[in-house]
Amino acid sequence: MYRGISSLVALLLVATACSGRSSQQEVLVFGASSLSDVLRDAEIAFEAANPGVDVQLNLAGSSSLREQLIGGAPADLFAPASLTVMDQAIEAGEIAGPVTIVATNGLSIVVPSGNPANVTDLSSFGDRDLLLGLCNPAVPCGAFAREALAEAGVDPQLDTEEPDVRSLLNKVANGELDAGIVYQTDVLSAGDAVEGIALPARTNRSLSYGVAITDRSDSPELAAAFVTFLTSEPGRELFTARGFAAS
Amino acid sequence: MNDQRRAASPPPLSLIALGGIGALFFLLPLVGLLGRTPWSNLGSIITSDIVVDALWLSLTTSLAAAVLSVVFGVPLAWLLARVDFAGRDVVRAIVTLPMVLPPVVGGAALGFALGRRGLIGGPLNDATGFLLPFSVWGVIAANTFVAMPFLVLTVEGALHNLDQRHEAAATTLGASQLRVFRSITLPMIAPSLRAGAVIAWARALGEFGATVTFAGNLQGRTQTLPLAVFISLESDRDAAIAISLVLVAVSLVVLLSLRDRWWGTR
Amino acid sequence: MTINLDARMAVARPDGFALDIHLTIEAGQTVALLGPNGAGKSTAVDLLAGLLPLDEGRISLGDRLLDDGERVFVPPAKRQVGVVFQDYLLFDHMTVAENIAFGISAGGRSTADSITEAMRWAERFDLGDLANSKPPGLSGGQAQRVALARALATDPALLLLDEPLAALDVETRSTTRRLLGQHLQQFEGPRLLITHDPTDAFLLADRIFIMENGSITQSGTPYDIRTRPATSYGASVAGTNLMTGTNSSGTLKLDEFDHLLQTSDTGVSGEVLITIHPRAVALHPAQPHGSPRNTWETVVEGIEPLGDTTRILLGAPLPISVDITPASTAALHLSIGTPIWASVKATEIAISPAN
Repeated sequence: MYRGISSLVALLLVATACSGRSSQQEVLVFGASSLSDVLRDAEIAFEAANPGVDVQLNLAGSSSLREQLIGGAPADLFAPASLTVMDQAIEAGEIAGPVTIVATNGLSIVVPSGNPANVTDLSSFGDRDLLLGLCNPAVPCGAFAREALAEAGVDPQLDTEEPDVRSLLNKVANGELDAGIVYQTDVLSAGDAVEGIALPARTNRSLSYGVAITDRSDSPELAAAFVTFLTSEPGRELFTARGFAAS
Repeated sequence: MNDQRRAASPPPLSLIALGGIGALFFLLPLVGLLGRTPWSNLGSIITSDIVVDALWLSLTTSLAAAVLSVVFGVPLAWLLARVDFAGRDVVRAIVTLPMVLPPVVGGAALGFALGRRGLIGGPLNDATGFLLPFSVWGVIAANTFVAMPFLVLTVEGALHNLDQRHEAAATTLGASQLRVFRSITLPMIAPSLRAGAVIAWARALGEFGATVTFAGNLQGRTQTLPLAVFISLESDRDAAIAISLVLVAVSLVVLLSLRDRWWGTR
Repeated sequence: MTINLDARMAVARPDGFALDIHLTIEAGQTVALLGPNGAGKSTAVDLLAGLLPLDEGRISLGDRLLDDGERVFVPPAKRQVGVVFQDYLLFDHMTVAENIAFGISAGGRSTADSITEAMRWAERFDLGDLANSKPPGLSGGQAQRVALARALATDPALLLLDEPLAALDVETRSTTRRLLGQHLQQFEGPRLLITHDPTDAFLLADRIFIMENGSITQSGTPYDIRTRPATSYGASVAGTNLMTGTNSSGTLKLDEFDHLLQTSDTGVSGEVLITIHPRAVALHPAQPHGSPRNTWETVVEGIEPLGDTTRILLGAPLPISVDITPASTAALHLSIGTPIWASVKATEIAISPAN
């Protein structure tokens, strides 16, 4: 529901953005929630470097964004959290340009700070006595986490399958859960409330973030300029500062 | 005779027009839902484990929430309506807070109170190992939190409107306050009490935000119908619509049947 | 021990109204507290029943102190004061028997016991056939009997009746009043009847307290009140026409006057007390047509202004008082000796047994 509210707000923002297009050059980015912080940083930097340009962000879950695109929402750039979602948008004919990989991310075990339950590695997810959570398999973080657990041969004893990575992270940060599996970047964004436990490289997939210009873009040149900025040195620094591996 | 005459004169057009638009506002989304329903595989979706588990959980937890709302909400409404204690307005405002608060915030606040590290939940968990979140009890707690204000407001309103002279008459007959409350007050506000319980139940049935925030989401344990709809939206739109339809159907059946029996002409 | 009531009651309401009265009632005596609307009669009921505490004063019932305005306040549930409320306040969700049983079981008896006892009260008040009915189906007179039975079944030490006849139709009032008078005899403690209708007071009470604006302005026997009114309200009360006569099938033969009256109340035959309220009599310049069964020609023998009404005293054959507005007095060009027609509806002539 909260995501529903935020996408509603985003749609309202989009509507206001559309009405003001004549006076200013604008580029509208549909970005995944997990890219929120880095896209906001990029917006500020790009606008500072290009006076008269306004970057608008519509941040929501990747699947919701895909549905909005297919539903006819106006967007210049699409930046989902998984390439699978990007492929679905391409299949639906919503994407015009090539997909540029701007960053990669990985999974991490997350525990409350101090690790009160002494979680060691993925095998702890088979412990019935711990309170454990993952994302729901329907969202990318849940699907990826299950792949990692299957790779490690662990049958997870779950207490909850959260609808998105933020709510999972919150429950760990509040100490309600002993451990969860989220993105590496999420561990960083949650600050001191949580600690991360790295997954062995063998089980940890590298997750790529792709950006592409949409089929309906009103200003593809400006959108292309923004993508170029993201892959430039200053852009790459923004990603690494937020815990991503810049590509 | 009087009724016939009244029925003979047609209601004002302006009221028909505005009221009709109001009704359409509720009818059209329902029609839209029916239009998008995947009728061909509806049967297999709504008999799947996920839906059956979620339906059973939704029915039991919403009913439990309605019962708890009555058990605790009626005495609370009575205190608010009849006892002039310091801070009464503040208490009333706090009780109605869940009606205006985003349920997600309510769920988070419940966690701070009753969660594993909560004010009460922490010591309770340390002493007994009992934990509300991630259990069916957590779902019931979240449902009750959002549902009970509706019952309290309805019953308090009824208590304010009640002619208290009947209660006074009962006390002159030697009845204690508790006996007056039980034998006179409750029967006299029964229609409002039933309406309040039904509204509370309906609110609990549709509850999503507080539940997912406080109790989590696990099929068969904490995944109610609204949570199942939300999760399905991420992966399988058809399933989401089919489950929504189950929720709508259950709600309509219950509300219609109760309306006949409980809210008929008094 | 004779239980009697001694109540000095003073209370000030937030709206500025103040009540300050002293009532005494002996056991077995019916006292009427008679006053116009707004005199504070219902406040007096609330004070006696314990629904309102005294500001100052002292209410004692027999040897029990109920309220002294300071330390002692016996709550209503423990007062043993039976109240028949205005509009009766029956519990609509209970049957007649359950209504009567309510106070009995509240006193600690088992439910089964209480119902058995309630059935006995129902029989005594001629409600046996209605024991399983719910109050909304009852007539006004039946509802009043249920209210009285319910109050008396708790074995009270004082009985309060707050306008017990005000909710009734004019047609049934006289019969119901007489029945009420009989039933009141079953209660041996002090009885207080609150009413705005002088007829109730004259026909049911042993003593009358007249209450105006929160104070007692006069008290005495009905005879005292009638013969020596102390205020203009008292005078209008005293104007109530009271006669004796014999009833046979609704035709009243008066003892003192050579005149026959028709009453719709045929429930009592033989010797009766007859009252006609002065406002119930209409005056006409010529013989009226239509329904009134009692019409007669007479002359005006006296005219007394009484504030907002004017009292006309009629001559033979039936010298009674009639209250009409000053405007009507002018319109009818009334002066001493004016010939005039008087009429009274049969339903307005109230009777009760004369004993």
